[in-house]
Amino acid sequence: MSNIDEYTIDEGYEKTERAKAPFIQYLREDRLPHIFCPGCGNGTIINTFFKGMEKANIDFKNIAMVSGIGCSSRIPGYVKCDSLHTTHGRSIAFATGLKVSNPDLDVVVFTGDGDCASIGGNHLIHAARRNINLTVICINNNIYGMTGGQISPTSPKGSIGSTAPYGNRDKPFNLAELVAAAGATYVARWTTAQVESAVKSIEKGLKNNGFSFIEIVSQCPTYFGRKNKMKQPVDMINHIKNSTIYINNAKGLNEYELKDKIVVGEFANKESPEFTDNIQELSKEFYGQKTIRRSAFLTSFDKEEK
Amino acid sequence: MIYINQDLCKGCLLCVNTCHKHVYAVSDKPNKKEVLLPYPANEKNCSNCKECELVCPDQAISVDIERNWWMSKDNTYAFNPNFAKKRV
Ligand SMILES: Cc1ncc(C[n+]2csc(CCOP(=O)(O)OP(=O)(O)O)c2C)c(N)n1
Ligand code: SF4
Ligand code: SF4
Ligand code: SF4
Ligand SMILES: [Mg+2]
Repeated sequence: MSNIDEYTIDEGYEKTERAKAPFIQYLREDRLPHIFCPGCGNGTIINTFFKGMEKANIDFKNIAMVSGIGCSSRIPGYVKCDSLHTTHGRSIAFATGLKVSNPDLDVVVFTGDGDCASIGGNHLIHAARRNINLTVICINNNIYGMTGGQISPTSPKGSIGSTAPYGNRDKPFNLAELVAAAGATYVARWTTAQVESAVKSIEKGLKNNGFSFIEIVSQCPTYFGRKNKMKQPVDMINHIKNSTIYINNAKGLNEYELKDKIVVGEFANKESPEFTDNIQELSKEFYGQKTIRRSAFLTSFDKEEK
Repeated sequence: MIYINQDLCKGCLLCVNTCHKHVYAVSDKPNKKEVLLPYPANEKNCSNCKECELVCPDQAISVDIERNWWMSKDNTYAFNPNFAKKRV
């Protein structure tokens, strides 16, 4: 074949289930194509999450998605599951409430770098400290995408944004290390150029009974790319790919050698008591039974299922 | 069969960049929205790894191919199946 015109498919095939991408079954098809710009990493991360979910054998019906405000936070709106689109930066705070009142739900938080590290930074470190069983997927595109390319707390030194026309002078947050130091039990960082590793980490994060934080460095060709001379999605993804370095290889290197590098790998994988389990234990210790769940429907301890 | 849904594809060309078998080529004719879309020009090279399906941000690609990279055309293994066994 030499041209797209010669590439023809019969009408019958186009309408079959097999002609659909595998993860479209979890999405609201009537809402597609989604609003993300061409080549935005958010779409890839949707696929990555579903592949990880299938590998972890998690029931899709038992998943509740929570998000804040931002391009990345619009993901739950395209998924056929219960979701909560909350205020900017408060996704983890809402998710904590949801998880405490419904400990059996698998609560997944989709959040951006601005959403979780700047306005929601406080909620992030405290959820990690308490080790509550949430799976937080942080889409780090190094910029505020939705509002027009302002510098975010993870923008690399020297990068250009609409609030830093001469280049960013501040040192960025290393989110994965920050969350690991705050006490999360599973922390990993990958990029959209290493989707298979990200799938594995999402699988581990969903299975982990504790706070799981998966940071995925992603591309925003529209704002980060355009302002930093990488307008094409392919340029951005190749730049990301070329700047990654595995955590074990990065161990002996000094700050100068690690300049402009993205260290990827697992930053924490340990066990520690979980927040909702702690609450149930406390309740059992003092009242002899578990706490009232869904207290909007139940008013006394006697009616609670054992 | 590799199928790209032209209503969903936005022409970011990440699939062209991802495919290690160079299956995709870029069309030289723009579509109605003036975007150059990719198409599977060398489908017979496809190893069925499904990486493009996973990477496509717009859920436009479906790879539906019978063959696997570990089976050759005459239905024998494309690698030595005893490679991990200890030699005696
Ligand atoms: C309380 C509040 N402050 C500011 C805003 C404006 N605002 C909307 S999205 C956003 C930044 C989102 O950035 P990020 O979380 O990185 O998401 P991205 O779009 O990059 O995926 C800001 C500052 C807001 N909506 N609410
Ligand atoms: S502005 Fe950036 S983050 Fe938002 S949809 Fe476009 S490419 Fe994605
Ligand atoms: S399945 Fe693999 S080899 Fe086949 S087109 Fe996709 S990326 Fe290329
Ligand atoms: S990755 Fe998907 S959206 Fe991008 S050009 Fe390929 S088929 Fe189209
Ligand atoms: Mg962002």
